[in-house]
Amino acid sequence: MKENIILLSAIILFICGCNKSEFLDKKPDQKLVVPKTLYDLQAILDNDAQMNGIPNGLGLVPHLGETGADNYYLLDVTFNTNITDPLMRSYYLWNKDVTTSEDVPDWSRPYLCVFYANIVLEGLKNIHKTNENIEDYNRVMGSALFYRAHAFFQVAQIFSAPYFESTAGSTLGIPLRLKADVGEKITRSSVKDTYAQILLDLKLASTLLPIANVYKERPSKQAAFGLLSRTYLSMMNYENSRIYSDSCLLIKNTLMDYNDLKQTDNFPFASSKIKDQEIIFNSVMITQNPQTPIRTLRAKIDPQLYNQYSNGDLRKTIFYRTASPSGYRYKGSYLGQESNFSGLAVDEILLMRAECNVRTGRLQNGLDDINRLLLARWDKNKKYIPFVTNDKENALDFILNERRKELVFRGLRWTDIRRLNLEGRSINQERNINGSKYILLANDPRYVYPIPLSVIGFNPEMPQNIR
Amino acid sequence: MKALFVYVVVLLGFFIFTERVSGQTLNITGTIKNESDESPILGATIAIKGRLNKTSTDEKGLFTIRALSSDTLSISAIGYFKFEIPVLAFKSGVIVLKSKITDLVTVEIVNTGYQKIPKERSTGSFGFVGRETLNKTVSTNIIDRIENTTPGLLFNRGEAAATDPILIRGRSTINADAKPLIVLDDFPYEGELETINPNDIESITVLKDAAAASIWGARAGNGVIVITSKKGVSKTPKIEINTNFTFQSPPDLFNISQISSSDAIEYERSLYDAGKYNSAFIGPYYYQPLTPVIELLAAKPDDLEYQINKLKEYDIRDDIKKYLYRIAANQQYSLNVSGIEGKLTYYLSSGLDRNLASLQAQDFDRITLKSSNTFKVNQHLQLTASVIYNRSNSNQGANSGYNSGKSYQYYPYARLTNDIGEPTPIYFDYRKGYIDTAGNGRLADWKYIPLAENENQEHTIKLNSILINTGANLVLPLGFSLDLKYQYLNQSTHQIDLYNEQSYYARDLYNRFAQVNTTTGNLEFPLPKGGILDQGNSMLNSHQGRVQLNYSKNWGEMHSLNGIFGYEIRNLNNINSSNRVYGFQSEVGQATTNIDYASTYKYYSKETSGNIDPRIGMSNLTDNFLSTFGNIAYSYKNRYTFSGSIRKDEANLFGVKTNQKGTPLWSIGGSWIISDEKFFDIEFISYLKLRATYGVNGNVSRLANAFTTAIFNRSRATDLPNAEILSPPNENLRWERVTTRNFGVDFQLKTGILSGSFDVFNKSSLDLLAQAPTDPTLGFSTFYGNVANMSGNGWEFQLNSNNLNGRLKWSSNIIFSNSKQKVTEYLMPVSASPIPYLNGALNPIVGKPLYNIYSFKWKGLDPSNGDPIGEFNGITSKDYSSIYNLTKLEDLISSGPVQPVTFGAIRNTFSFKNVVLSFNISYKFGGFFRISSLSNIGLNGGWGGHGDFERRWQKSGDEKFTNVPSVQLQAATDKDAFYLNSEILVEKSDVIRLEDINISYGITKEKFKKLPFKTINFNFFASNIMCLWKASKIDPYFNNIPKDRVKVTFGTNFIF
Repeated sequence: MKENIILLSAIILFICGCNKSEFLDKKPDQKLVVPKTLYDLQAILDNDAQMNGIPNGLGLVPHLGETGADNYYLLDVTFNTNITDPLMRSYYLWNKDVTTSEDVPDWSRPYLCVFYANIVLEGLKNIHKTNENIEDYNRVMGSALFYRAHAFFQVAQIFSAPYFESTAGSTLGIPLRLKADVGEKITRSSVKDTYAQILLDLKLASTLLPIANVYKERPSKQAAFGLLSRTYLSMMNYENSRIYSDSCLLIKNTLMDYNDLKQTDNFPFASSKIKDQEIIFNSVMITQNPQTPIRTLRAKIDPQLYNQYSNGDLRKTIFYRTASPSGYRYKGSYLGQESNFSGLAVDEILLMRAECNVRTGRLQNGLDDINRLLLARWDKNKKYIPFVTNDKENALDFILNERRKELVFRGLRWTDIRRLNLEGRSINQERNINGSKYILLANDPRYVYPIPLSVIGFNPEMPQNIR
Repeated sequence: MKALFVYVVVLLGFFIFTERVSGQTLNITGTIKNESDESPILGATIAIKGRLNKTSTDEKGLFTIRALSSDTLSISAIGYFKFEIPVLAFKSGVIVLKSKITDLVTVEIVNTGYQKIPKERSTGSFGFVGRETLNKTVSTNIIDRIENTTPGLLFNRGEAAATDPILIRGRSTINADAKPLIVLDDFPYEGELETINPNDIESITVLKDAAAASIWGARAGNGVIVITSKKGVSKTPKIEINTNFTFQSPPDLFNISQISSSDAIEYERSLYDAGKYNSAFIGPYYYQPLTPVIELLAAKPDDLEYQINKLKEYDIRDDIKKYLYRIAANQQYSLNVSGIEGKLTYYLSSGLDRNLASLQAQDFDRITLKSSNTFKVNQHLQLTASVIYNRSNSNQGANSGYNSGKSYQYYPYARLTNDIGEPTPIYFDYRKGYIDTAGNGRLADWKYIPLAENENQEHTIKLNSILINTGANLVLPLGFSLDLKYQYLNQSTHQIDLYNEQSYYARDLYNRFAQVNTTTGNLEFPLPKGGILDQGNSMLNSHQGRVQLNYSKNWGEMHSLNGIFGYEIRNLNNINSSNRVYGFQSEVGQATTNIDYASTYKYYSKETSGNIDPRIGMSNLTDNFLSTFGNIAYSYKNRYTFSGSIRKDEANLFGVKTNQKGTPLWSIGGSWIISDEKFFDIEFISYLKLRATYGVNGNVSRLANAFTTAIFNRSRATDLPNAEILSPPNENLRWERVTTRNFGVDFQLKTGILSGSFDVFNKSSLDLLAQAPTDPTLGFSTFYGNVANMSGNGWEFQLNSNNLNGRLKWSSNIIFSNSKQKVTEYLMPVSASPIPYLNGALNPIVGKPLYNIYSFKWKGLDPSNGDPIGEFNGITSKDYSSIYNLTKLEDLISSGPVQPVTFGAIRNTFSFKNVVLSFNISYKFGGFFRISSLSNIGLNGGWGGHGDFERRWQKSGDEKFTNVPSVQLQAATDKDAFYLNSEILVEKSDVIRLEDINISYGITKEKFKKLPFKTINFNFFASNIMCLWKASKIDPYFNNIPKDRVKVTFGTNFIF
């Protein structure tokens, strides 16, 4: 009897002696990670689905930047049978009321990216920077800042007014989420603060990031310079835009010779060298909703745009093909797929430098830039005649037109229209559907989309954009 | 016959009179057993006649009582005849009681997994299924045997089974697991249920209300099914042999509605004539498959009409039946030896199952071995050890029967063999013309021959499991005893899916990735020639340990107190891995390793491109639980019982805050045996007990996590390790809670003719895990939290009656259940589109059952053209796009729940001499289902369609006889979708079925002295017999799927 009790007591003691908190802290799923190490944080940033919007159309860059713009039109039959979602119809027709209680991915996708970046930035605070890890530490921090700025920039193009120096301090910007805390009170900043934050993040990122990256999904110093240039351009700060585009191109400025592509291919950039040669940072447009009007099978290319490509211009056949029952459709995504490439590439940077060179009085540099780009787009069997002019405005018009022709469906047109209208270029848009005409005049308040209802619903005091 | 049938067996060296106290007072110890199978009787009352002394037996049937040598012992137990014996005559230690109703009711000892309680002294709602009932049906899986045996337990069939296969008193969770907890021999069983040999099972207890189940705490929310296996009971070795042979004809394929071959062909011809295939012969999609009729029409041979007429004679269902099905045959053998030998109680068994499924090439083999022993070291200490080993092998074959397993279904006139019986190809993926020429012979053969696949594929799952139980029971002074238990389960599964080099799957992938070298024009093959082998391994390990202090004490006949208190630890680990190799050569067991998974290749036949799928998967899941539990029951005068139980769970699934602050789950209950009261003078009722309980059970889920967690994967674009953030931190995460109130009555009539129970319950599920919207600016538009609620209520009863008790005995057993649930709180907004509510997915709506059928209003067919007419915004409409995409939820017809609301069964048993016949009729009412019909879009795809084609609207006036819309060569998706989701196609799934018939014939040695065994029983069992009545013309169990035929079993049972 005694032995029995001793034996049993020993077993009980053994069971009770186990470390309770260790036992209960055991991860329920080994794949679950409470992110702590630099390795974990880098892995969060390498989540290209959330940070870059890969794959197909999941996206990060708002489609509204193209859906509301003038590169395409819809046939009545497409509008009537394929675009049945009233919201998508309203987007296409620039209706005043484009609110929905559903999720608006153009808002939520970038803010998810911001949340990831903030988780990483907060995780870094718990990691000690040492001589051994400084390279990784800086890369992770720089990347997180870049991703956050990139996402803020995207939201600002759609949901807040364009940057205009004299009014930026008093116009409404976007919520600047700088913490990961999910209990944070969300408020809108001013346009000035929005852009200041983007520039601050990018400038710090540019000092931390490696010069270039093997993986184009990861940010690099070159990408930070490129995005700085794009941000300054949208702010109409052409001198700074020029400086950063120049810095960006100093790192790498190769262009792809479109003669290397097969014009008849369904997706000419599939399995091409475009990623090595031109792409600086990869990001994808949000086109997952099958009713998105700019999806390639729906959107017909604006004939006025299409007709501007001369016969020697390879872009005419590489970017477009005939569509059924009529017109032309786009096939020129650098992703080599149906979904649209909306990242940074050398061609865009070169176009920015060309424009800023001309705008800041460096006419010949600007012309050299634009001629270099066009040469790479020209059929080698047809002679390219360089564009020459002595007139600044003439050169600027030419470059701006080439900018539109080169950067179709890259998610930049909306931002360009807003900016160019601010300087009086009067780009008025028009849609014709089922016999009715819809017009969007330059500088219309409808150039700013309303904050999604789901956001306002949680923050009833948040001011809405008046359209 | 009604005389007491009692005899006393002398058992040496077992329990004897232990001491003689001074004078004439004796301390008497003994065991009370059941006469029929010598199992101990728990809760039998031992009283001294004419005095107040009273005691009762424990779960081993053991009792001790003080008495004078002149006294007479009076022993009684529910369900048994009373027995009296003078103390002086009580020489041996064992008294055997005869059961009152031999065939119907054995005394019900409910097992909660922590303690065994006589049902008489319980307060909760239990369902009990004894061995006799379990043996009435034959199955490979033990759980199948409790269908239609206990009220409140629902086995969903047909399409409702896709929602929840088994439920106890309805579903009480939205997103967490709704399966009842399965307990095998005192511990939760996480292994596969197929590993349990049903012949080793003694009884099953179903714990339904809070008082019954709450001892299982955070895992009891869905109810608990406690399985108790057999133990040795008789002094002499008992050998039992069981054999069962089961047969079932191939299912009825003609239960599937299919357009006739000639209609299909003529329709294809009209599609062809209308130019629908013009683009198929040109352009980039020239490889897309076409049916033989279209190929013929395009080729225009001289004997076109002859060939087409020939095709009209075929029906694919004939070929499928002939070549893919066979008679299913299951064999089941089991042997067990049990007994008590000195201090050792043993039970050894082995079982062998061999099932050949009705689909050719599908079979299942299982071997189970079990050894279970109890060793009584001394008066105080008893040790138990048992080992169950199981090995099974299941072959799936490459046979999916009627489903082609391809992107198209078989066209109605498809053939699996040609005229001389050779397997013939069917062009599902590419046109014949394309694959005959593609690659100029440099590609692998690209033909798909359905009948050739079986020999070129292997799909097997091998499962090994070992379950070890050890325990010690130590009797302590003052009514205490201590139990220590430990269970170890190891289950490993090895799954192989091999597609050899000749298999279509391997050839097709090889070809698809073929690359044309643009400079040389040669073909290059990124994938090696050879087979493709997918392997999956999973390893489940669980350790469960328990320390439990028991207390049991009686103070005279006034008070008795029973309690348990314990501590439990549980660790479950499940590791899975899977991988794929390409270029597998089975002869040498080698595969190719240098495969480029990163590159994207353009597919040979299409414009799209893709990667070679590396198919590597891994997972490692761990559940850790620490639990403290206690249960106490106090009885006053054996008439009033109060019970209470409490349990606290801590787990690695919850957050720290929940573990620290979480309130325990608990229950209280009371029962009152009114029939024991003096004032109770209803002459014909011998037993009447009232029960009432209230309590809270829990349910856990892996859906949410308390921490910021990320899950690692690999990026597709870069192949870098990549982490996905799954959840923002949610420190307040807690388990779901199910509060249950139960009120019940148990009764028995004096004559024993009728007994039964009645229960009414009410459940409310709180803190259910569900998605809730949140500000998308935070990074998430929804998050998982404890935000939803549900409620449910119902009632159920069970009646057992002895209708005839002469030479011909007739007894009936009726069970009835009614259970309704609805969602009471759910935060996600109602979708603006009706589509999410039509497809059967989980889309909770406040005020409605969780699974509910919605449909569009139906306004008949347009008499002018046979178009279906619906309603939009209250106005009759044919704007199908608006109806299908924009009808508001409140404008949809809510037909009702998918799962039946009222269900039960009636079993009648007749016995005459040695023959026993029983049959079971089940019924289900209150559920709805959607029947299938003709899809115009599907029909225009040109690969056949639904048999409602015959009933389609063709001319004005037809709308009076049919609801099937007219068919058009230009079909519209939304019109189709509107019709297929309209109320006209929703029907009640009410059904009454004759489930099974069991005839058994038994011979005992007592009657036939020459018999070499103690008893032999012959059994005939038939199940899935017929549907006696159904509300719809479609049998809801087989909605447009092959219909199962009657299954018959011939069984024999020998006992030596």
